[in-house]
Amino acid sequence: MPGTSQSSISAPRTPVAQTRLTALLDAAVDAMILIDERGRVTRFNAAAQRLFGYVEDEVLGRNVSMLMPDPYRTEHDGYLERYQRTGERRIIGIGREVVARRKDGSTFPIDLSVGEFRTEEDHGYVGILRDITQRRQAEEQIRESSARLSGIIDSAMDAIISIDADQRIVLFNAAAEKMFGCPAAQAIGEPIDRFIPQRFRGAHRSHIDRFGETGVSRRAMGGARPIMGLRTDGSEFPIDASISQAETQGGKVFTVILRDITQRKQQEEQLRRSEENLRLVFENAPTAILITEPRGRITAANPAARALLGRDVEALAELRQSDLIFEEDRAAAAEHMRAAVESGRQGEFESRYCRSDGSCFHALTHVSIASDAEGQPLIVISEIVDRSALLEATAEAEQLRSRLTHVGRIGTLGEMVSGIAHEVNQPLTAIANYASACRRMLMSGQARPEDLGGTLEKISQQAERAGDVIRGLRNLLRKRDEVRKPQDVNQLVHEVMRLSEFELRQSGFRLVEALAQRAPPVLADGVQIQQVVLNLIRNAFDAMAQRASGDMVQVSTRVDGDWVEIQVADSGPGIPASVAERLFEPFFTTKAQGIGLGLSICKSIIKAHNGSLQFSTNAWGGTTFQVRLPAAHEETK
Amino acid sequence: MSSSPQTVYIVDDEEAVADSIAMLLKSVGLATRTFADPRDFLKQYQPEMSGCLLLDVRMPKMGGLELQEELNRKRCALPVIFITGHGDVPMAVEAMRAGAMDFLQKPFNDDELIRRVQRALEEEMQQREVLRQREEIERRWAELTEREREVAKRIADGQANKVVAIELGISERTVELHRARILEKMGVRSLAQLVRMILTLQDA
Repeated sequence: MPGTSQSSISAPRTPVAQTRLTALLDAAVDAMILIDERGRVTRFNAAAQRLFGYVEDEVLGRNVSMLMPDPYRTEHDGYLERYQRTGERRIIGIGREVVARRKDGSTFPIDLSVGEFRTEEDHGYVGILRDITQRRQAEEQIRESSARLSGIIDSAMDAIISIDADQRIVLFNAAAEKMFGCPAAQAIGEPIDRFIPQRFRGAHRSHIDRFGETGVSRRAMGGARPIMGLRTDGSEFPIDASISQAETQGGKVFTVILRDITQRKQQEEQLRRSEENLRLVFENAPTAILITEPRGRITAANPAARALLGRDVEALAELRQSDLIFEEDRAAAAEHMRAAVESGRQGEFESRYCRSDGSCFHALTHVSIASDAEGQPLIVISEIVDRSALLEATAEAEQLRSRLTHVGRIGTLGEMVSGIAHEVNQPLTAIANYASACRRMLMSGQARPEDLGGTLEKISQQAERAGDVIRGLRNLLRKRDEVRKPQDVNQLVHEVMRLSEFELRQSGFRLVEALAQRAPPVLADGVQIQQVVLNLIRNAFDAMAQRASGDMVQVSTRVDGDWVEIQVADSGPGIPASVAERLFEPFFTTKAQGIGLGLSICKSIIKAHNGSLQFSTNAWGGTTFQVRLPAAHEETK
Repeated sequence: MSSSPQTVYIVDDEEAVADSIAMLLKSVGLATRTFADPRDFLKQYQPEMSGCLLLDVRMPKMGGLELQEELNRKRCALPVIFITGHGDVPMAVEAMRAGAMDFLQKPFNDDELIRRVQRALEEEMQQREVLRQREEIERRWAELTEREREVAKRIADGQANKVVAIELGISERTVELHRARILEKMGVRSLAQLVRMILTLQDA
């Protein structure tokens, strides 16, 4: 150890001892500094030199306080003097953590222990120093991480409670305080039982003990049964808990993480209830509901469906929906179902369904598709509405309507009877006259049979004419089923006008025919359409008879796109607004002898033909009634 | 004036009816003329026409009643038989009130028609005879002098020649001369006949 020999003050005298000391000092891991009783450095070992950045010569003989930052530097001499005077130990023989100062002025924490040596000729102190910067940092890290952990524990949403092996609470976080309504200070040290309802306590304790024995680090608590918590106010609530265990120096610690699942339980309950409601709706719905998978296999059928279809659950489970549909309707129904499934939209179709006993019924099926989030169809819901009653009612209504129109026709013709009788009388009179003239001429010899050919020809013509009238009448009067077939509107109108002409004789009105060149056929019951036109023409006459305002009724036909129109225009006084509103009402009439069914029957006839009946004021100030009928498609050809 | 022969005028817009009636009447030897439009008949009407009128009550342009009214205005003496259809009885009554002679409801029996027409024609003939006689009387009456008419009226009233002479301030003899002349001019032989003539004139 070069240069140290000069410091005779504190160095041992014997060279052997000196060498040993030097070797010892330099081999030491810790910094070692020797000072004399006045505080001057007598030795400064290699470790100290590395630690402080001084070489020994820079330090030897100088006050050790140079190695200290303020305030220690100025106070050090005072410590030393006081110790030597009073013997009061502050550091010597005790050791403490202090701050040291390097040559470059930087400071660092050290663990310092000081020893005193005293011989006859020598008295001094030895300081052993250990840089504890790293230890300090590690401690700081531990402190920080522990603060962070407790921050996490305290800010956790879940309640966290740790208990020791005696099941006394050692940790109780903020969420736990809130959950149980108990400050941590009151909870710590308490048995965990305090937060468990009485009835569960025994079982709970043994559960935790058993868990401790398994050595498994973590698992959920409770299993199938919900765990209940007990608040300090005595109320209970459901919790979801998991438990973990760790061995510490203090023994086994269990940590329980708890979540209040009151809300989740409520939601589950609501869900369960709504599912139950849905099930009840399904089971008790008055309409038949079938659930099928997208490919048609039946997965559920409510009691109404089972009753309607006359099949039990087991029978239905083996079937596809299409199996239930009457064979002739199956293809069309399948097409509707397929379209609904592909588009995901609702659909409906009419078809017949078959019961297990072979009987059939008409039904309207509403189809609805339930799809997943990606739009893939999951299930098909079919509501099957039995239409047989409705169809029967419709058929009955149709029959009534048909009867009413027939009665209406008879009524109309009844009103026309004098005109018609006149029309039949004319040819009959002529026939009778011609015949008796022939007879007389033959009898009296005024004529020979061959002279009478012309007259006989006249007789046939008149007979034919009478026959025409009767035929037209019989057509209108005959009670018969409605027959829809393609009809030439012009022909229908023309025939009606012939009948109407009988009445013109009395009235002196003009009846003008203006027919479209070529009209497409309409699918109609010819007699009913004639009934409507006849009614409208007779109304026109009546309108003009009420007030002598004009003398012309024009009946025209025309084609408007896919519609064929029949118009009956009169030159009467028009229809007052008060009457117009109620014109099509049954039993509304302005005529003394009318019963007020004519126009309402007309309207119902035209409606049944998917057409419309309207009226408007025309250029003559009279009224024009307009019948619109859809043209029949060419496919009827 | 039996110059124009009796003709049955048939007015009916229904050609077949008019034609067949005409033929039926022809078969019993009656002359006929048919008109489809009553206005045509009205235009061609002459007071000299003799016979009867068969008229359809219902016609579009002019009703039978209307035509009857027009003819009455023209003092037409032709008897009218209305032909009515079913349910036209009220119209027929109206027609009778307006002076129609008869009505027939279609379809009618041929004998019935012929009988009624013939009766109408007879009646017309009689009427025409009465009319002719009355015209004759009027014509003769017009030939009398003022004094002769005065004397004739008093004689017809039943005054004796003496009374007439005193009242008119003439001699009885002169009255007798007037009387003989009046009978001669009026073409009667007895006073009774003259009285009837004068009554006829007073009726008119």
